[in-house]
Amino acid sequence: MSIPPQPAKSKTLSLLICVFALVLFNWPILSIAGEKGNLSPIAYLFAVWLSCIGCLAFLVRYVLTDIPDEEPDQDSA
Amino acid sequence: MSTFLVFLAILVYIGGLFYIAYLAERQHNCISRLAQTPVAYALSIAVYCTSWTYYGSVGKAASSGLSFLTIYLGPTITIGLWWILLRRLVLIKNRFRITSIADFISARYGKSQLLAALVTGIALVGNMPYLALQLKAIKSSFTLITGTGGAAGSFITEHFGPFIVVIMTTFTILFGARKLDPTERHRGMVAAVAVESVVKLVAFLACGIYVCYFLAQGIGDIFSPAYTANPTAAAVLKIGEGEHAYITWSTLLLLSMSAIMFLPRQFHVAVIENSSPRHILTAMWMFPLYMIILNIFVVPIALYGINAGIPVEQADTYVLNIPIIHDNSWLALLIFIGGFSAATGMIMIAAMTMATMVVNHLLLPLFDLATFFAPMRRHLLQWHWIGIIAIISGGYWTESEIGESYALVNMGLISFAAALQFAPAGIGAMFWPRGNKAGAISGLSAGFAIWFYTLMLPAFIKSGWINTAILENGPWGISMLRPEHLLGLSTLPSLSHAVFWSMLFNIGLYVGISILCGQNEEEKRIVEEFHATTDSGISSSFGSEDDMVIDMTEKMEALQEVLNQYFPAEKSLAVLSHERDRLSLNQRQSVSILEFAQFHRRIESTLAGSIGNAMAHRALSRDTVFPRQEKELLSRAYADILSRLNLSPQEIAEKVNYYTARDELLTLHSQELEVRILEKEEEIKARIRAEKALTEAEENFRSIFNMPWKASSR
Repeated sequence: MSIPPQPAKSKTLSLLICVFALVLFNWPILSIAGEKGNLSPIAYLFAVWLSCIGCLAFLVRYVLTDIPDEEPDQDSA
Repeated sequence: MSTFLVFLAILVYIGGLFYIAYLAERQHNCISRLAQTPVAYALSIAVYCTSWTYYGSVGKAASSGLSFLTIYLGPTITIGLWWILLRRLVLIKNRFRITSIADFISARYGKSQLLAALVTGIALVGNMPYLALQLKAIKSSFTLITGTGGAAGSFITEHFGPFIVVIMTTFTILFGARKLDPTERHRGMVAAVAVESVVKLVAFLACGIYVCYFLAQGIGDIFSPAYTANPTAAAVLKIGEGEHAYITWSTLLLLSMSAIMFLPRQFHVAVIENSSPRHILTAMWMFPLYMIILNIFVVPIALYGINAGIPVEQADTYVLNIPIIHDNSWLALLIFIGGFSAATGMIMIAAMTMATMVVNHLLLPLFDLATFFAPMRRHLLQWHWIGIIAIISGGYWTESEIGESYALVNMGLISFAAALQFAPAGIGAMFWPRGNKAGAISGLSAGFAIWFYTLMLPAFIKSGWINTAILENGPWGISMLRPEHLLGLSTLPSLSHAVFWSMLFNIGLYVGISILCGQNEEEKRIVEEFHATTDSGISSSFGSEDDMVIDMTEKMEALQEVLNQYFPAEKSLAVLSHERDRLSLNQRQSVSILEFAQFHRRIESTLAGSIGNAMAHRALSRDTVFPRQEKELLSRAYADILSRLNLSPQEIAEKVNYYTARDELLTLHSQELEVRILEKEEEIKARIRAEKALTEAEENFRSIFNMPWKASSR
């Protein structure tokens, strides 16, 4: 068993989604939606959350498709 | 609602869970196949959503606005990295036969028993009250739905707590600790937890739909000024109140980001119970989707509850109270079962994983200390059962004794902060080759000590068990040591304050001491294994006739003696024969040191599956099995290989990876060829059958013409 090398694209996209989510769910962006902006915070949070799930689904469906099958755990055999 | 009816519903539900788990454990049926799907894996991770989140989300929304969402947003952020983080953990688990988070951290840092015991201790202190919180939720919701109000009543009411303890213990032992190898997946348990996840989601959605569309005029109505004009209700829609709102928000995000990976139960369901790394792909979108659906109606329920005049102090019970107030008993029963599912799922998984940690990393080292305890090692499975009984009963005792205290009520986040202490050593284990045992032990110890001092101690003081003077003036009147304002830091809320100091010392000591103190040879070897994560065997070509120095008969006896301490004699012999056979060493009287090292590594890995990496390493490092001279011989053999190859370890790892990948491709190709050969054979068989049938038909046809009447007519 070995960890097959991951395509750089999938790694970068994973990191990008994580960083974007971290930025969008945190201060100071959150404060724009929270207090100073017109957006309702709850609508903003659910919209960003849903977008993150969409991005994750996209990543899984279209980017991580070229990952080869790996050896399953011994017990699953 | 009638106590008997609620009790009957619980019995039927638990009976159903037992049946599903039983079917999942058996082979060749629909439930068993479903339990092994990525969907079941993703749903089992939803054990994250406990009764604390099921009932507590609405309570938190009513009292602190939208900050309850951080508990779910944090995991969504971490999940973005699961294909990098979790996949790596799963592959390491398969390679090292990891049994728990304590085993994982100790396996990377020199297979240290001290480190494993430390992680187990932190997990136990951090999770035991959290388990008690789940039992409290079950009891409180039962009291609420039956309307007994805690008064002594029927036999069922009075003995409900012990009944739950017995049921949970039985279920956990039957489906979580029936066999010795904790690395083996528990399909029954996973299936039951997946079903519970569906039930709690359906129940919570039912409550939300009832509130929005049967009690109010739709979700638009709930968010209209009619419901949000009230100042208390308006606060529900805000990020939080006060100057600390965003600091608290970010702290909660950080805590939940680490909790989804490092809470012992999450580590168990996501890593130990994973049967294929590809299942992570499904979980990456399905689990966040599950969480968002679960949270859609939290705010509407909180808004409705506040406007219905139910006090905010009782907001934790809004989910169950609203249908009860409106005499919708059946819906209340469904919601109660949903909350029951949320609590029991957590109790079962947490008890199972904590019992494994306690037995492997606390009890077994104790048994090793004195020969008097030596026979105890032969009863590992029974010790696991005792561990489960002790943990669930301990949780019940905690709930009975301090059920209403500040310490227990606030245990959810305190427990998350305990799990955060594992993050530096855990992440470093995967990505920082320089991290070492001394750094991990110092970081974890310091982090845990500060966590205890700044979070647990104030919780004890606020519960009235310790004098408040320590909180106000500091111990011995030293104000710089006030638990919630350490070193005079008073600009942070208490939770953020604790997280800041514990992480500062934890990360600082882990990194600092790792850089200052180097790694010994053993640690370096483990780090290389962790980072190369390759399982390619040692080539037998390195073992020339001159190197055949290890007498296998002698070694087999020594190894069997060690294994007999943990397994029955037949099993020990079977394990040794199996591994010897796998390495084609069966017919050999003597082997090279490299071949023996590989054999030794496989036996250690098998034993680690039962007693953890640290204990297995200790047991098999004894002089009778692997004496110092042989270890030196092995080092020289490795050095010789490196010098002969004239390559750096990095280059060797790359080459090994290349050949492993090539080997995998060739294996795949040969498997394809085998499939084609099988198809061809099937074709040939079919053709032979057809030809045979044709011959028979021809013979029949001929026989018709050779009939006697035909002959006579002629």
